[in-house]
Amino acid sequence: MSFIKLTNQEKIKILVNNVEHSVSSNQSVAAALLELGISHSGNAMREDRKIGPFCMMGVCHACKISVAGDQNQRACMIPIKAGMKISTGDYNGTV
Amino acid sequence: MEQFDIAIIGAGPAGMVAAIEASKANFSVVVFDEQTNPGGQIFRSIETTPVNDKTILGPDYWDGLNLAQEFRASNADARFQSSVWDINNDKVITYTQNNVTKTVQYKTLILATGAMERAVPFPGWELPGVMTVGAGQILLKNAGLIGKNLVLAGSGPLLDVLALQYTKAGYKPLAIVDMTPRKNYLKAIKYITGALIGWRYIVKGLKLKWDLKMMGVKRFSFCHNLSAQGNDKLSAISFSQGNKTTRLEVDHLMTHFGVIPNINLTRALDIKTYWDKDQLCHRPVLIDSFLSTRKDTYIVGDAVGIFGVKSAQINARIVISHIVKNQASLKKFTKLSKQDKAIRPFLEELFRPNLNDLLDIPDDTLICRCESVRLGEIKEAITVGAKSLNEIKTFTRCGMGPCQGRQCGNSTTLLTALSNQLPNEQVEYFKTRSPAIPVTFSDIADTE
Repeated sequence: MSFIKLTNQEKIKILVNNVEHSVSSNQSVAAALLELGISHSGNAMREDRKIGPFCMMGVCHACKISVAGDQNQRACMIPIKAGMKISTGDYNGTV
Repeated sequence: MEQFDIAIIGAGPAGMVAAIEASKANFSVVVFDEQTNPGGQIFRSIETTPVNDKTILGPDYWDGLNLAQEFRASNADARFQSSVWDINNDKVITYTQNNVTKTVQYKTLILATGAMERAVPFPGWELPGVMTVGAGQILLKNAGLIGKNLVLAGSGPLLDVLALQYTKAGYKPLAIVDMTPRKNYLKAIKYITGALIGWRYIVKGLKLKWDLKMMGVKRFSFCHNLSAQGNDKLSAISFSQGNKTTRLEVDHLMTHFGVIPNINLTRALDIKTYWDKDQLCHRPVLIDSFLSTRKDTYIVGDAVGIFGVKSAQINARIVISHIVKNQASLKKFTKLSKQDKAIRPFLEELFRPNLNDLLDIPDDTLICRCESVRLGEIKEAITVGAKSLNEIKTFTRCGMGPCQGRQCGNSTTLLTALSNQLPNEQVEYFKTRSPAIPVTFSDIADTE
């Protein structure tokens, strides 16, 4: 899965699963992860299955990731910020 | 506790217009929205979009900028990144903002919670790489991201809108897989009177199709049997046209099967809803001038039913006219609303997905994405007697996950009706309660 970035935005540094990445600012966390080619945000409940962003508008909850240890964040609803510590794969469907 | 005359939930076109007009009438107004900026989904990221070339997103999108600016300049107290999850009978709103839970009290409530895309399950739709067309639009508006090797599939004008935006940005999608049934074109003709009143919409739609044709965007018409394949992520799709099956290697699939009102908060407030046979979705019952069955509670915009961005704004003006008891403007906007809505029966008939056909899918197709419930399990629950969505939920956990039935509620309603040979309107929807959006105990513990 790959996305093309049409626009030129200021780059910021973030940590995803303890690896530093440079990514465009002024977008949602979900968009930033997709820009980096990270399409898996978490795991499905009751099944061994990877899940990723689907609706991008906060209704499907498939893009949940952890930000600074807070497990329950919809990546499509929060803006990316410099220095953010994100971890994917933590979410297993529990609220 | 903070007090406001009018509380508005949602800062999309309907919520913004309601806030602007209510502020002009000297009411104290508070507006809540989950996003970081006003605009809702249609004008998503209108203040911040990195896509500066205005030809890409087009004039219909940029219309939203004036509205957002007018909203910002109004006296309404706008609270973003705020999730409203409870509203009680004492007119107290409970919301969570930045992990802190707060309350305000209002006199009149306006729900402008908007719509969401109808989730239609098909084999492989759970694979990362499969998204909705709305998601594709948001990625473009919010981040300037374009999906490579993309196929757009489903029915409705949004497919063409995104295809044109991509093409204008210099990236043609691989194809549009149009699943609008052939017979819809014939059936829609009986609503031609409305179509003539709303001829501008028709011209716009036809021009869109023509532009895409001229730009060489490939279109497969009258398709069915869509499926997505891949290990851990999407790698190919297939679909049928008549008896012919086509397989395409893709990186992205974006689907769209129409839009339905987001009814979770509405139903959590015990507002009556009904099944609309034309829009194939649950809609709130309205009494008069968008007043709902709940005391001092109005509903506007696509949260009422799908009538589009213009009607959303006209209807917000009707609500404020009703609150201030201005009969002249009430009459004027009611007339405008009727005119703008005239096209709808035609559009509904034309783009109505054949859901019974679409839901004729293998038993191992995922229905509830959150709790991993597949069609076979739902059929089993129905065999042992489940007739309502709550019973199906009790037996299978379908609808029990964090999306609270938003992704499976519409399809499960139809599947339950189909299997029990009941009309859709006789299938009772999920009991929806507060919290209307999942919140953590720690957020609740951090109550101001």
